[in-house]
Amino acid sequence: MICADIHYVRPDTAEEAVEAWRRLPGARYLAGGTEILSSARRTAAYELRACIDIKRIPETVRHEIREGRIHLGAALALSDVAEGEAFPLLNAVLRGIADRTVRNRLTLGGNVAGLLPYREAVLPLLLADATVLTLAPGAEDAPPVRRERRLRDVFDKRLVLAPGELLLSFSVPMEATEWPWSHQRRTRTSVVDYPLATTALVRDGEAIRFAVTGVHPYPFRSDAIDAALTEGVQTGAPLTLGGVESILEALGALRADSRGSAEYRAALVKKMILTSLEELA
Amino acid sequence: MDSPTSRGWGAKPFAFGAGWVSLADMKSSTHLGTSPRRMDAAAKTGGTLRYTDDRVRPGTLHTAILMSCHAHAEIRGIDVAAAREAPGVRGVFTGADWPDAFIGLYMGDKPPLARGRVRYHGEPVAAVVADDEAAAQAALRRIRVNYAPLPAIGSPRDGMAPGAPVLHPDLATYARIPDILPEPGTNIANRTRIRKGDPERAFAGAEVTVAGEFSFPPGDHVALEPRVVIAEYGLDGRLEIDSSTQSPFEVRNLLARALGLPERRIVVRATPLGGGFGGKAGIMNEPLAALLAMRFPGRPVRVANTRESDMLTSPGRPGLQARVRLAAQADGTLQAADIEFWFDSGGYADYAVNVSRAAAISCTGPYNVPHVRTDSLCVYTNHPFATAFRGFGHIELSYATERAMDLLADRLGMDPAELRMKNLIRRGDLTPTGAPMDANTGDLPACLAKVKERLDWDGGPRRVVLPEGRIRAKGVSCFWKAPAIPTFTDAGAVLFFAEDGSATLSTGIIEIGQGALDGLRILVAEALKTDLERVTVTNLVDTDRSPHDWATAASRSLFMAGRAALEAVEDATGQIKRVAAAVLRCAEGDLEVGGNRVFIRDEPSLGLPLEKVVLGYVYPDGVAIGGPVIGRGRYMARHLSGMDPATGAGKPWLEWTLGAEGVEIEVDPADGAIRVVKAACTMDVGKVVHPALARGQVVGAMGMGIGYALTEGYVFDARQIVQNGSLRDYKIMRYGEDPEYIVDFVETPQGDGPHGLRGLGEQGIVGMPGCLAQAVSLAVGAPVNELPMTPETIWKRMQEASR
Amino acid sequence: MKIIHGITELHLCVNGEDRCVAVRPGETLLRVLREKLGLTGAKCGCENGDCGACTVQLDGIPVKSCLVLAVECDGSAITTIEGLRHHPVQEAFAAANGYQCGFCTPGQILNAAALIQAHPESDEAVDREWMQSNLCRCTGYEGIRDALAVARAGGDGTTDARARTTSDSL
Repeated sequence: MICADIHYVRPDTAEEAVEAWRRLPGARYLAGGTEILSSARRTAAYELRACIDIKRIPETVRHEIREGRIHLGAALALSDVAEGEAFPLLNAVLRGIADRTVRNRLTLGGNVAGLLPYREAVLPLLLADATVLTLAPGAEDAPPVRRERRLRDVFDKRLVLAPGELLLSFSVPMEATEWPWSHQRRTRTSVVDYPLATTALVRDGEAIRFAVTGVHPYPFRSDAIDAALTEGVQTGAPLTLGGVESILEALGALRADSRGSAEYRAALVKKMILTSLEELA
Repeated sequence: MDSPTSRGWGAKPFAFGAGWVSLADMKSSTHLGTSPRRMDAAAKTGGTLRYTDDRVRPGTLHTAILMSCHAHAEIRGIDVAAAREAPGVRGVFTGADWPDAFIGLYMGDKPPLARGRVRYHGEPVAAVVADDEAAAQAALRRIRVNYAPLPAIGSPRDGMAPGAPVLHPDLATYARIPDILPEPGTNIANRTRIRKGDPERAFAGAEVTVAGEFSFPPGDHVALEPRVVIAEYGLDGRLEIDSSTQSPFEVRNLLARALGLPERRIVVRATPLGGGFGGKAGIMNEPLAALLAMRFPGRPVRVANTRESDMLTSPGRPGLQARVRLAAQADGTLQAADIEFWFDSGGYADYAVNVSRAAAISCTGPYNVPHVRTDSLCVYTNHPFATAFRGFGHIELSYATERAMDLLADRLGMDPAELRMKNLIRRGDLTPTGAPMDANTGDLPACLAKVKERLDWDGGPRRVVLPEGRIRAKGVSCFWKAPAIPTFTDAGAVLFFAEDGSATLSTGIIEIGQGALDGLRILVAEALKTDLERVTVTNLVDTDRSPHDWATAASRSLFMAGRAALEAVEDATGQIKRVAAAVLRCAEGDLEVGGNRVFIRDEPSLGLPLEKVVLGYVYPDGVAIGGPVIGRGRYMARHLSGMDPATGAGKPWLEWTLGAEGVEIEVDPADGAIRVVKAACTMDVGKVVHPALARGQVVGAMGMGIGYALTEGYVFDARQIVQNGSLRDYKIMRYGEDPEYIVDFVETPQGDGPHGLRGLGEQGIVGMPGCLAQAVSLAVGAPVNELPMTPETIWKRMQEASR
Repeated sequence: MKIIHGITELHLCVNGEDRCVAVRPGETLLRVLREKLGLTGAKCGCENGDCGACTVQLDGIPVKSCLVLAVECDGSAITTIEGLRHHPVQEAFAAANGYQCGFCTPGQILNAAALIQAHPESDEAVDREWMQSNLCRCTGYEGIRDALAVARAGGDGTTDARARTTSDSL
């Protein structure tokens, strides 16, 4: 329950949504609602003056293949996305998040652009070189600006959005969805939990791409690690434990928290990478 | 009066009236051992059963509680001025509003709201009362508390270390029951001593001794229903409480003492609960709700926990640090045990002082140990405080003693099941408190043998490495549990009848999911020799209307309320026969009640339908005799005694329920991931009244035990702030994590239990941590002596063991 | 574009009936069902989306009503436990002792009903994916498994569970 005296706004277009945001300081875009309602209840400092419900905006619920790309609206529920057949790696990653009933509401945009640092849904999108379409408020009285950019260019631990910038959809080239893939996820005990580590690997011809989240804890992908993994595959040498160690070094300091130690996370990631490489070979 | 018919009795039902059976039918069929559909099936599956918080009236004032964000701190000041001005707020209260109030079931050590300092993360510091929840929550955010943090005690050991802050400097002044022995000037809230035989000499002369230390953190019950209480102080000076409690009479008693009101001015009402597990057996928010209600006479005040406050603010289950030494002969025969239990009671004592006492009474586990020295301490720390939890000290002690037994088995190179079998306590053996196991002792060897059989214990190695590298391992444990109840624990029952001749049973037992009321229905229907549909059991307990009952706890409900109910049936049938004897003009001793009739035993055609008698009998000329039949029954546990303060000697238990448990697990050495494949339990319950419900209790308890051992327990930071105080972070078992459950019962009669039954609701949890720890230690290759045994813990121990 | 501020009249379709309630935008569907419509079958177990005791169906899809605003739900068909009457899944839970305290039970039933509708055939992985959304503290999940099996079998009350529960008197 939200005890603050809020506005509820339900725009029909993206422009209306952004305009509403401009007129109501302290407004938040409401998609699945799982984060907003939980945060509003638990966190005294959570600012919320209005909920702008974006679920009726057609662009945010796109789920189609067009011109060789899959388009996934930011307000699509994870369960709905995972029911699609086009992007198996994404489905696998989404199925690990929260539990199914929550996934019936939790959205792609909510997971990627919300408060929680894990953002697991972004891993397949990063690996697939996704683009992201947004609508940002214009300066002063200028109309809002639609932008489509490479996800990797606007993602650094989190999606870097301007205040009031509305996330509309992601798109991914079809060939990326056809690459062989592997996904691993580990938690402290129950599978319904935030991850200690979530890894996703794909194989694009000879090249391996790798993304991980939970260990820093934010999503992490690096060219250096991709190169090291790729080299291992190209030279035909199975990746040794030593090779994995150098990858871990490239990952840097891992998170230690009440769910797991850094040492354990490191051990998990090692095993997860080796297992995935075996699967992709 | 019946007209005799030409048909002989016994062969067919008489064509007289509806809904009764022939004597032959009655003799051959029985309700005992059947699994009829539960009385509450339609209401619970239909969502129409109303729990306490489903009955809130419009106009009820709502309370929001401010929880302490420190585990130990002085309260320098609380600024409530802004909160008082918030819209809809009717009052804001702090500990200063009740400067002299102390609450406590066995020891009064707790203020209703913190006074002077806070002693655990989540302690209630202020209360906002408002017209609705949103207003109360919004106002709460305006309260400012000025804390001066103090060093926080993070374990019982730390609490007993020299120089540790004394959390209760006024310990000597607290009101308490005589069985509780606190040590003022320290953090020891209770010390229970067991001295049996000559343990020092036994250790000195022993061929083998082992010693180990074992521990786990405090945790939570996680009943699905958060606690709620609605209190109203009437203009007539009567306090009415509706509470999600397992113990309405205990609540009344406690409030009377705490508030200085006589019991006759307090009424407590209880509906079925959404789970209790002991967490609702003690005091919860009732004292605060009552005090608030007295500030708003004539208006109901609701104090309802959020999940977070249900976990942190309200009590959970204790943690433990234990040191166990065992002495044995070379062949494994136990000689002596030297035990220290340090229960982590948290910031306040509540029920935990009795939990540590119960652990002392049962300290060795179900083994025959001639010489015992035990000190069981309940220690204050700056953790969320503890209350009764399923198993009541037994799950805690069992974890420690079963681990110690495993150390001994390892040392001797003995099969751990064989070591146990060799030492199982039997009829005539003396318990730690020096009283003999009586004729009602269950057959523990049979239980252990059955568990072994179910797990194919002797069918091959107990540790197997599978081709892919995962490890399968098995473990067993034995357990016992007796209720640690006051010597004056009582149960009452009243049986009355309706115009259709059906019976209604009223007791003080709360339906908490365990189905005790269904068990009582079976007992009464059996005794009345009638159909189940013709017996109603009330499920609302009201201290103004229900017969007195100690509490729905300690797995004694069906036993004690059952005895009371059977006595009530006897009383009622006596009254029925008295009236019938007059009408049928025969001796009372000639009469039998059954099949909804009262009739002459050797001439069954001569009788009366019950409906003609139970509300008085009316002669053809209109003259009426008798009056409503009201059966009364009561039961008190027989021959219970207190414990000698120096040695613990005494007989404080109602009955012992004995059993064995075992598991088969699978562990992945690469990451410590663990799966419980099978979980088995064989328990001697005396008599299985309702097999499906009995199984359900044992299975549910086993599931809880798996969580206790593998995934649950609070995680604290260096300042003793709980890191997992919500269900997002505190993980209990989910669907898909459950094992194959294997349950068997043995029926060695309990002489004083109805039809020979004894309690079984808690016991299934008691042995789980022990057998899981044995299996995990076997898989790992080294003893694992802390809980929870998470994958990381298992992985870490495997790493260490392989070096 | 719709804008709501302060107390507003909201039309909801609940259990096939058109209901009209006065709500604030910040009120969850759970609270509105319980406190305005008296449909107390959905429970406040955590109000954080973790326990599932608040589960209802929106257009046949299980959702945690503690994380849904009532004002989002106009235009959806809401089904609560009270909207099921003698549903085969309810019958199965009753027959198979798929409950003990009953607090999680409405949520379990609504989720299970949707599960079985979507997946009439049993599949452990699918069942686990759906049913792990609902916590139960009492049953250890055995009774719930039994209930699913009975429901899929067209449950008539006789169950493997009960056959399994006889005591092995030694």
